[in-house]
Amino acid sequence: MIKTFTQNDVIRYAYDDEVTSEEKIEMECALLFENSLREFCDTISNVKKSLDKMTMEPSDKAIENILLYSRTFATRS
Amino acid sequence: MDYKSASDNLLVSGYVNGDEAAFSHLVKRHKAKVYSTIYLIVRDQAVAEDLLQDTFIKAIHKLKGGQYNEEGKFLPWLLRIAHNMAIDRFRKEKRYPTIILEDGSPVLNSMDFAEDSFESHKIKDETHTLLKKLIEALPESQKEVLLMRHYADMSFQEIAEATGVSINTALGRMRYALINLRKRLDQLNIAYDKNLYSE
Repeated sequence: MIKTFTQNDVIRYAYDDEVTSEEKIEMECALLFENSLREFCDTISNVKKSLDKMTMEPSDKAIENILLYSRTFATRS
Repeated sequence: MDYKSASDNLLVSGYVNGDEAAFSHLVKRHKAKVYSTIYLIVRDQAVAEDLLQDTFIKAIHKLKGGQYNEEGKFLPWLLRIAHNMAIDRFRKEKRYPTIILEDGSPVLNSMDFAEDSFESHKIKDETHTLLKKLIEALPESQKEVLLMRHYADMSFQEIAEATGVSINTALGRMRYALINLRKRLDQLNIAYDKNLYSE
């Protein structure tokens, strides 16, 4: 018998948020048979992929400051 | 040590034992994610850069002081520090600072994207700028969970504890945030834009 999952379960699955390997297998099985669940999972995965691409880079100066702080840490303490 | 392929754990061990190059690689590996997490909360580049430095300085003190015991979870640990610092700053100022550029657009539009060539960046810019605006337009409770889960790598349980709600409420807010983003994209007829959804 296929376990019933909610949309919240799909969110946890998509983010691999404390999902056990057994739950993963059950979810993947449900996704094969439940069209609406699979469509929701695809929707979430697509938005998640878009969000993954949104990252920013700090300035080189900020990174230099951090590395300098680390190098001189021994003399500070 | 082959720094590029070394795990965070190995780099942390090397750094604690005095290898500055190991720390340099850790910083370069995670700087974009940490900076993005902070920026999406404070929305001010100068403040985000200050907090980025404060985050790593705190990490240096903890690592060198022997207070790091999160084996295998370096990035989530670092992001928790960053997130807490950004939230503290937000609470102190009681509001999000919004900087408007000369063309009238918020500074969020000046966000850049990792691993994009100049050409692909130009092509993707319009749709990604739109996505940034849509995130900004989300209700605060949904945006908070989205930032905590997606950018700060906090678990839903940690988010629930940090925001004083049940895990189901945190999950529900995340669900609505993602659904809202998708709906707005659909309304704007860019739901299947290859620039947004390409691998």
